Amino acid sequence: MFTIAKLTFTEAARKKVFLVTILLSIGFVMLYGMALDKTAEDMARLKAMGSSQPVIQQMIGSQLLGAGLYFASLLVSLLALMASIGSVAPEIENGLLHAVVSKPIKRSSIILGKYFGLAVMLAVYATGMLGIILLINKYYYPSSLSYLTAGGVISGTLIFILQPLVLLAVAMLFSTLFRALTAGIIATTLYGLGMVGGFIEQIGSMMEKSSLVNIGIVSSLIMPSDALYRKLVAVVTNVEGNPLNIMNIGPFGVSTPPSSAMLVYACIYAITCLGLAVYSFNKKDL
Amino acid sequence: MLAIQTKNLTKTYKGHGGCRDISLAVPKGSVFGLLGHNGAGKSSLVKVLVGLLHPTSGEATILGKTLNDTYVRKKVGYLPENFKYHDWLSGEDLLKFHGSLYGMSRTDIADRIPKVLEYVGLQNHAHKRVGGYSKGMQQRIGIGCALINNPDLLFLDEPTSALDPIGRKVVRDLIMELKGQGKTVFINSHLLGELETICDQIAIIKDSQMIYQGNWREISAAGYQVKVIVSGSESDIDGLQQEKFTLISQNNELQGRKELVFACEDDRQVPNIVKYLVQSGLEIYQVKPETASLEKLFLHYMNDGTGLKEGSNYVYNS
Repeated sequence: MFTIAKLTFTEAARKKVFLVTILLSIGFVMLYGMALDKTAEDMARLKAMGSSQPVIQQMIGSQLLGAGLYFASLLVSLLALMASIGSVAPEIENGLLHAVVSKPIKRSSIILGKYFGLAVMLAVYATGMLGIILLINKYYYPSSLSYLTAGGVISGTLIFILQPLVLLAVAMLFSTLFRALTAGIIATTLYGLGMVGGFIEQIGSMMEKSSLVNIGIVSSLIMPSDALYRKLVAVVTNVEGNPLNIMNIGPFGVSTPPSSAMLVYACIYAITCLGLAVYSFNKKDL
Repeated sequence: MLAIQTKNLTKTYKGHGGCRDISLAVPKGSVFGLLGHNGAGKSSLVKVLVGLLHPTSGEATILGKTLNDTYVRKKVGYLPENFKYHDWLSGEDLLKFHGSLYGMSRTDIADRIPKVLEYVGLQNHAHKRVGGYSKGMQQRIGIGCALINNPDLLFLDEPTSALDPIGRKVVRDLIMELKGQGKTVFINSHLLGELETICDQIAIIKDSQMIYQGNWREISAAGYQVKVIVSGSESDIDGLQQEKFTLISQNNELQGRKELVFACEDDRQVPNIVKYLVQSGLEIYQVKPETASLEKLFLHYMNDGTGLKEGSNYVYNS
């Protein structure tokens, strides 16, 4: 399994999709940093003119933090989908796995090796992205992260990593069941469903409309990636202990944070998908 | 001892195609050729034996172990028909990767790699990316991947399909060397000329079913013939006594010569035929003993719906 994981990690890190994602990430971080710099400049100017408005400053800071986390989450998720879809189905189609599966290794080791190889790559990337977003915000808008503790950073990082790991497991399952294109479409659609469900839940929560909230909850159960994002925002901004948590409400924020049970559910969800991927690959004729 | 044994091994796809009721016995140390037309089920059989396909029914053992025994594959090498490898790795790194998959230690892999590269004639290309290899070189590095563990049993699925004549000779010599080392080589190939030179044992699959298996040279020898070019009068030729030697055919050649084809048991009869023809007053210009080629035998089996049973008397008629 370690041999497969090592090769998968090296191969994923060499792929163009990873390089493109890194370049996009650099571009995003630069733009995002410029945006924070400009808004912080305006805030400083207002303060110098004696018309400091801490509430507006807090609101802008929170929304910018949410936007940064959301886009970082999107990049990490897309990388997870693209990398995992290409890891099994195309290798079955082009015969690359024939020489591997015929070796004295269990098929489960191939799937798990690929999963952990990609998981390490995604974890490193996700940690880096989250770290950069938090550092930039801490520099320009320290008030938006004033309730963030060291424990919050650690749990936030773990939640941020869990999100691509869930998507990885889902995409890998479909990659063992269908051809690459079909698997990619299904996995991306599911991710989109989770995303839209998350928005609907936020709107329902603001309007106090339980039917919308329920739609969001059901979509989170089908694809918990967006719920994990909302949980991350809740942890980073410490929604429950923050008297200014109303500032977080918005498309990228969180009104009612998902419970910790959602984290357990997401873990079980990923493990189940991975187990099904192993089962499906074991039964597959190559 | 048998390297491969199958009993009514069947692999079908939703009840269609594949291979059916294959009962095969491949002796250890033999070079075994699997023949059949496109879509006959050869690759299905090979894929079942190397663990890529799950059999629908039947039994099979590889080196005395069942197919479910993953670890018996430590002693098995396999070159897939559609060879495709990690093209971003160098040839040497690819061999290291496949060595690791076999569970070999770093030292063993390092010791083995130069030997394998020499086997497949890629010593000077070890550090080049596999993606930069020609198709023939990719097939050869594929054979190298199958040999890295020094296997007792080697499956080669169309091993020379992408090779030029020099590459084919390299592979042919390699197979003969492996045979000399007591290894078993199981080859699936359409290139009958290649198989003819290296295989003794063959199996023929037609429409998913095995129609022959055995030593093809024995049945070929049973169809031993001698072709003689002679000149002489019509009466001398007509006077040849059929009861002494079986004259299968006679054809007119240039300059009034005739080609006579005699069937005989083996080459020990050749001097007697020559002596008899001289005594009959004929002048001899050429004597050429012939056995039926594998290609002719193969075509005979493929055109004959029933095939022939192992050990039955067979005389090839051209």
